[in-house]
Amino acid sequence: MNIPQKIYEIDWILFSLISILAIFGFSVLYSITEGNLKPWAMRQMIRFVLACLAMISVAIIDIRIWYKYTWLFFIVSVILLLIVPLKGFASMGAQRWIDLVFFKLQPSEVMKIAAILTISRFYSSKTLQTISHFKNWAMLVCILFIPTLLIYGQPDLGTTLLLILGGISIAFLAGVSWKWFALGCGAVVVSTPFLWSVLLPYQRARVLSFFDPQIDPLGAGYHIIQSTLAIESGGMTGTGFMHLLDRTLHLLPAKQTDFIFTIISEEFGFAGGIGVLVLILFISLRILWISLRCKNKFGKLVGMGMGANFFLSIMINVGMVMGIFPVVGVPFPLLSYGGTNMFTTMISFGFIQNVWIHRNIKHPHVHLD
Amino acid sequence: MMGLQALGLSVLATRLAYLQVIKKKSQKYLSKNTFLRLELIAPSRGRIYDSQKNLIATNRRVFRVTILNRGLKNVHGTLNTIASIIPLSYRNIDTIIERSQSVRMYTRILVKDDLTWEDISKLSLHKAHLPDMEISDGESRFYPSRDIFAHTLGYVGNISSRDLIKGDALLDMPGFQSGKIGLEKGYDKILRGIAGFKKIQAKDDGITIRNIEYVKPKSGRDLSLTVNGALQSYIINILRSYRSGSVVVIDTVTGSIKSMVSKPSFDPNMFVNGISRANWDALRKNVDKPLLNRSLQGLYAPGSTFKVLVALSALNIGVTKDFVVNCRGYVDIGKHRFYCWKRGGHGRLDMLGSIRASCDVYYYVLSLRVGVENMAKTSRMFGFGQTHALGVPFQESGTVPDKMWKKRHYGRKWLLGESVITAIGQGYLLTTPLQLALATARLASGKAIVPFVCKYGVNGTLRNRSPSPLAINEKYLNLVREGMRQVVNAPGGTGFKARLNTWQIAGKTGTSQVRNISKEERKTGVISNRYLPRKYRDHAIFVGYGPFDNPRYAISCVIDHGGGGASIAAPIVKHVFLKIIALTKKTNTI
Repeated sequence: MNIPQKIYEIDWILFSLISILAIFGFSVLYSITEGNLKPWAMRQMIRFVLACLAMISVAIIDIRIWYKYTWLFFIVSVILLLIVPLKGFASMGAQRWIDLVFFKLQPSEVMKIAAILTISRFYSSKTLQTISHFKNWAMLVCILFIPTLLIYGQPDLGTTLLLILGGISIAFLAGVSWKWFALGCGAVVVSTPFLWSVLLPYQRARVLSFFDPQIDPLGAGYHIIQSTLAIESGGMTGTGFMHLLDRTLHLLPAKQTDFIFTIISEEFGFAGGIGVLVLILFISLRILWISLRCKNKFGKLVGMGMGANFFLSIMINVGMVMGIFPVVGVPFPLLSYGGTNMFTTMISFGFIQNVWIHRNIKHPHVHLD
Repeated sequence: MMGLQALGLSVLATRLAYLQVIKKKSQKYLSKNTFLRLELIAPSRGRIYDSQKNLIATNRRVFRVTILNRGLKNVHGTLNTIASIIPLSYRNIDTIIERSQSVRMYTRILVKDDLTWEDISKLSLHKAHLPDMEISDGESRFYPSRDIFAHTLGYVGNISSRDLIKGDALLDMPGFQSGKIGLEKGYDKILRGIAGFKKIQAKDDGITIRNIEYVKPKSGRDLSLTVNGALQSYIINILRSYRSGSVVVIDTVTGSIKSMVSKPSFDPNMFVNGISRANWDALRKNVDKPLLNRSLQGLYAPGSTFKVLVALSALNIGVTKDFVVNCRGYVDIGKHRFYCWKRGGHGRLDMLGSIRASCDVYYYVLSLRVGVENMAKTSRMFGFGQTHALGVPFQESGTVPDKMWKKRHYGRKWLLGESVITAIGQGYLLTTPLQLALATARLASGKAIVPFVCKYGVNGTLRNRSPSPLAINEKYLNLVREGMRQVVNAPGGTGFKARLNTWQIAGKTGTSQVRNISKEERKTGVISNRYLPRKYRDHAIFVGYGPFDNPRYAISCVIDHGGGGASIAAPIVKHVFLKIIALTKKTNTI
């Protein structure tokens, strides 16, 4: 296939669904600023257009090339993560970024994608008979261990969580025996006291205030209380587009980023919130459908892995703003303002499109001419 | 996979329905044009008591006027109206406006604290036109003990803009104060308490309609200190004829500090609502530095009081008590001649005699056997060269010099002559009055006493109070203790002015030199303190403990530029012991 053919092959249904979500996001950003394209809506739109180009680029590169260079990609990502503590710069108490002159790169996000590809490639070469062997399970832990440690140290609890959950999802989808997952759950429960002891004080405060926001209504619990109040104010049909309450505008922190779902729930009420969730359901189903149509296991796992990551981000973000999950700082893909979020999400959709375009390739490991 | 996704989404949908449909329905009064606003309620700051349960820091009820931050325009308008009713300075108006830019919307901003009844009645008349204004009662810190515990307690003050950056919403509250120095700062976290809040139903423009939910604030924890108000006042009284100095009293059994006086003092109440320019200048320009907590921050060469630790270091490395030196009033070491304070010399002295007579030459010679490293080791064992976790911040750790320290600070090798003068507590060696009292307490008890003023640590947990024995032979300690007993009680002892009939006191005098005596001066005779300007006079030091047979309390006394420890500091310690005896007669503890 040549390039125009490949672009023609892109799944336009999935693309339309995510465009609807993104455009809805622009209008919400527009309403937060009380009807101004500045400072957020315009920049977000420009980013979306650029991110679409990135998505297409990722989609049309032959899946066999991605397969071939997966490990290299992974190693480069680890190196980037290692550079962060040395050369990176800190913002808001965390050191996550490195400056690449024309844009700021967040290596933890690169790693999120690299890890999905690597784990998919690893499991795609295993047969169902051997997949549940202990050494494969140990290999998964090995792949995840160093990136997790580095990202956790930045500190970035949200991405750490997504990385681990993403890896586990792929293992589950690849067909690893459920017994391992049961064992894993047991291990988590047993190690909880230990995990608690390695959490940083601010992270502990967040987890504690999640169980009881009123422990510290002014510190960590503040975000959750303000957010649930705003959601409550929305009611069935919401306060109406561009009719956000002054209070929400002034008191809700990170309203354009992590807490954008709160804004949607207030403006459009229960109807709007459910609408977004239904759209997410459609997008997830489409991703699943695309992945299952792929004839090679690598593609299947990459598609579903990217889908799982997208879905989990939303679960965590929405759970967080509604007070049923600790505030860990995971943005809502496509809706939350921010370049990193936009590009990572669109690139992961690029991989899903890639899987769709190359669905008929049976053996991704065969060498190209 | 699909099943899991559906499950996840339905959990979220259920929560959304609960918040927006069910919970909303139960709050029918929430119409479209209203919203919920959170307003914080300040917790009561924990009170502080002395050991006799007398209040030494409490809260006073005050009235204050605040305005709701509803944007710059509203703040401006309301402020101008208030300024036309009660007097507000222009400087105040500017800071309030500046503040309104930095605090969150719909939080209250303090306009004026501690309103007079006149102000209140005037403002109340105009209340109807000023919807953003609120007159509320609150609390303000008050120190009934005035200047008696100023340095230990410290004080609270208004939140500075630097504190605000830290982002704790409690700090935005009108009239909220935090500890700035002393225990108020050290224990700020547990004294502060936890804020309560009101959920307020407000109109679209932010004006309150009614209160919906009220969560009570949790008061800060009260602190009971070990310091005794009666003893503290008594000591301040006996220091009245001296310009500056410090006395520290430690319980040698528990390590609790019974008194910690630093003179001159100040009234911490001045700081509570912002200190006036005039008061601040007066404090700052005072050459005796009233804000300096001499007990913890004053650095003094320990002088001859250090000799007991040198004697212990010597015993510890195998020098016997029969080590004899013949003092002729001076000794030549290397190219230098080192003088004893007694011009004619002491003659032949063994170790006990050297402590009793406080002979300098004996320790010059002994230093050659002991070396600076051993002296430094013993000093640290007795608590020098380090701060102690009292919960009072900004302590000085002092200096315990050794070879590494010299290398690090001066880049040069340690000289023999420096060991010689260190042995009589001069040179680089610097200690605080707390460290002097603590070292005495450790010597008296033979245990690594840990000093404290509150039995709870700054994080609110009970302190562990079982001191471990010192790594030093009890026989050696007993010898030095006997020396200290003789200092006060034997004929020829330098500390006889501390002698008591009731308790047998053991102690050591010290004179901390603050200037160098030149060769020329030696020839013509050392100038007496009386003829020197005050700043060149020696510090008078005395450390002691009692009763000798069953030690209960250790005391250090430093009188800045007071002259000799024997004549000035020893009688003060004697009087402090007399007061302690009087106080313990009633209850056995103080």
